[in-house]
Amino acid sequence: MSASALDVQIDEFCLMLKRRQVEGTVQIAKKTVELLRQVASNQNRCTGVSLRDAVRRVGKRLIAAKPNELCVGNMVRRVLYYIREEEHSACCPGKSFDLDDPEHDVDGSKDSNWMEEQQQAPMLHLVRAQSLASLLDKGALNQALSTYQGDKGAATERPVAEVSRRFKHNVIECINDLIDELGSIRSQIAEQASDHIHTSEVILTYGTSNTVFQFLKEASKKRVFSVVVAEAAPGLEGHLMAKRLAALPNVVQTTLISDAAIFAMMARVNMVIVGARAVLANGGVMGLVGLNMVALAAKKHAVPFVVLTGLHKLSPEQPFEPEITMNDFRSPGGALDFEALAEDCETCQLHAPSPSFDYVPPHLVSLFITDSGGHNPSYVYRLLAEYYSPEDSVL
Amino acid sequence: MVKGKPSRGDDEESHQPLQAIVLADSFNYRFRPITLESPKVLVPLVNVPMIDYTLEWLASAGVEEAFVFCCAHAQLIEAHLQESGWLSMNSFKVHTISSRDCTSAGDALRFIDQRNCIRGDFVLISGDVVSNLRLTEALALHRERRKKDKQAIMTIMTKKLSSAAKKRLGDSDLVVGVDPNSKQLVAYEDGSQKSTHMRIESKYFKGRKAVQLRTNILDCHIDICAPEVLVDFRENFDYQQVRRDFVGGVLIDEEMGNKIFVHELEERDYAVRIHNLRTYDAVSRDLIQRWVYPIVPDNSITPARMCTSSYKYMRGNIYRQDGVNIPRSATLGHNSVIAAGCKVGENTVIRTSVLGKNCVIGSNCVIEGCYLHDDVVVGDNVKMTLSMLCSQVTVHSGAVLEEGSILSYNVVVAAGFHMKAHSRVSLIKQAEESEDSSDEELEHPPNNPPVDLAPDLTAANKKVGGLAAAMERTRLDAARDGTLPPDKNIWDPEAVGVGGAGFLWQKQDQVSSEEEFRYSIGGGTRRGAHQEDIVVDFGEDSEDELGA
Repeated sequence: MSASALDVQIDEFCLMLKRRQVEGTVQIAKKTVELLRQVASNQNRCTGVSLRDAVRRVGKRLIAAKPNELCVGNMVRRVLYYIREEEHSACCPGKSFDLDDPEHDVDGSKDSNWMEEQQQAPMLHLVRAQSLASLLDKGALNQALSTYQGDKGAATERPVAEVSRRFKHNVIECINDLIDELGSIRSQIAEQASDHIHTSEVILTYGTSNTVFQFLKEASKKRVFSVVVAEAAPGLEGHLMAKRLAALPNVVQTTLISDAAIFAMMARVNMVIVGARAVLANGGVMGLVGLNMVALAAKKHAVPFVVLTGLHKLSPEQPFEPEITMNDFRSPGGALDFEALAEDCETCQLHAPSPSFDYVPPHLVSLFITDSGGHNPSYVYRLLAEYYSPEDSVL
Repeated sequence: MVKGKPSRGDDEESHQPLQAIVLADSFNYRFRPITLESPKVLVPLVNVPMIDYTLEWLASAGVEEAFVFCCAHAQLIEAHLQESGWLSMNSFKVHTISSRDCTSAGDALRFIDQRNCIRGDFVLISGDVVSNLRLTEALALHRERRKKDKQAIMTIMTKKLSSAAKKRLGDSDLVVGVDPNSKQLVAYEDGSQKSTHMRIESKYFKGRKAVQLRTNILDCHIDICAPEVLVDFRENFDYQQVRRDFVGGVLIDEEMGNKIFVHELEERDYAVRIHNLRTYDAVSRDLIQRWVYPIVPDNSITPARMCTSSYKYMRGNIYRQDGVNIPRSATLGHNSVIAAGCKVGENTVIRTSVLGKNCVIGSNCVIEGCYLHDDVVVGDNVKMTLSMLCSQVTVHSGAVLEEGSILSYNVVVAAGFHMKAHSRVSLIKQAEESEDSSDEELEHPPNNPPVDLAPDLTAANKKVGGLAAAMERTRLDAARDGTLPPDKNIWDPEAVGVGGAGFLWQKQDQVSSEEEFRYSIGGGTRRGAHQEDIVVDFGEDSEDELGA
């Protein structure tokens, strides 16, 4: 695709984000990653620095279109992280990320292993996951520090063109893997359903979420339980969820309650399972408006508050007044009649904010169930280190 | 979607791109004296020119091609469209058409018709409409009606709104007659004829189950038209206004049999046309309070500035750009917008106001409900309420601007001057009252064209006598510094005080003072009588009473 055609596509996507014509984190994340893949494949002289710059430039445009959509920034940072990884393995071919071996040789002796390592390159993030624990070994720390000083590191003797083609190819393969990952998030989360839900439990959920629905659907195949759905005013999305649950082939007894009854019902609930919009770096959650109330009620009754989230929603952003800065305030029309303004237009004392999201602080969350398993909120910093580079936190 | 989708065959025949005609000239005088120097569509509404809102709505509604018709100040409009990136968008083509000879909307439509650029159904809108309505359903209904009846030539967008709410929006008293079943328009009376009763043709009562007369309808001035509308304008040379002449004509005309339909907007849709300053005030507040979501101040809609950071939203509907200098002692009250580069002094209170770029406000000021454009300089201890200050206005210390004051470009208010309520002040002298100061008056400046005082602003205006202009400019600079000696004052000290710059504009004679107040900034329904809404149904039984 030519550069100008790509520009057109990026502009169109930015406009769709601005006009709120595209919703759903998975869809937005997929589209972002596809655009970045196109940016990568359009690059001719493919060095790490140039590729990162191109991705960063496009990423900034996409983020500026809708700053409170955190998954766009997440995907940009993920792609940048993959590029850094590939840079590292291309630059220092002898050094794979096998940190168990602190005796590192600078190229030369490991030439023969280079081909194997390049083939393993797309699986690098899995290798990393295993050996993260040994990061604090002395030798490994020095090595990690030296690689993060950029690609000035060990010079490679491979011809530049060949390396750059392979480099670009690997980066694009990583991105393809990421896209596949995005497609399989819900099924991977749903697989863990029967581990968490036990027979004759009462589950409370808030509003609607495709992830939660699939999770409960999967669980209903093996367990018999009942679900209480809170309607989630003012959007009343809970009604949709209740209808879908009631229509499941394996009968799930569904009760629809209003938000006011949540605290009262909480005494009889075994577990709260909700979806999220974003997970912040401190372990806090941005969820549907009203979720904080559910979390507080759950804490009061010592009911586990479980959040289902794909790792694409994990953001390295630290929250500062997230109720305002990471929120999207809609029209007051949901709560207030436009005619009411006519009575009070002079003084304008009537203020009816209509936020889309709520911030749930980390101490109220019991468990995150992600596509890579279950995690504590206090473990989020480790997940961040696995998927993002600290140098990309400010784009 | 909508029930009764067109069959597959029609879809494949031809995809008609939806076009739009944007009339960037309102052909009326409500915004004078501001519109003598700048077109109405470029007047900033919450620091964004009005035409940007219209174009943004058209683009997001799926219109693929828009023709912007400019008459007065055409170069300024074209320059703005170029610089803000509207002319270089990919999926939304904007073309400008300009003509200096048109004096009304009818002339404009005839001019566009001659160009033969409208190929199918089009959206007719004027350049000062703020909306977020979703057009898909209305468009589908319109197309369906067209298929069944070629004479269903126009669909008017309307919104159900009580009279009190309409008054808040500065709208006129509109009474509309609608057939509630087929949604056909049978009567339209907007009070422009100033008669106390309305006329409905008896033919509309025949063959119908019911006719509804309503006073709780707001005309959004967004119309989906068939190409036959242009044909109608072409054939009727005396059609000047769309509502008064065209709609009135279609309703009265027996032989042609054309029909106009009405589409009522949903609760969540917002569509208002800025007729006058009262509407400007109300719509500004609505934008700030996010009624027009997703068109909100912190979501910038100008294409060129789409990807730069715009306003940050803070609690209480306060929007702030970067680079604003506000000390701790100053208060930025709720429902305010403050653009980049503004400097505010100590202990100043700014509430429910909009400040443009690079404004400088002194200390101990109270600014409430005001609209300041770019580069306004305000001294210390100034109190202003419900006023509008255009670009580069200077207000010296101690002045008081009462509600409804309109200060046009470059005006200077002397220190300590107390401006009376509802004053309109401009550097251009008001022309003598002429006989035909009707709605069709041009936006062009009257007998004495304005001197080119601010070259960046009024580039289109002719320079009149280089020497005179230079002298006036030095005097204006002196006035701005506050050093204008009284004998050199060529302006009206009654209007702006000794040492100020500007002329007072008197209200036109045929506009009553009650009407003047009704269409000015601020006031709202505070002092107006509360009107009861009237909905009269003529149902099947009453048809017998009316007779044959």
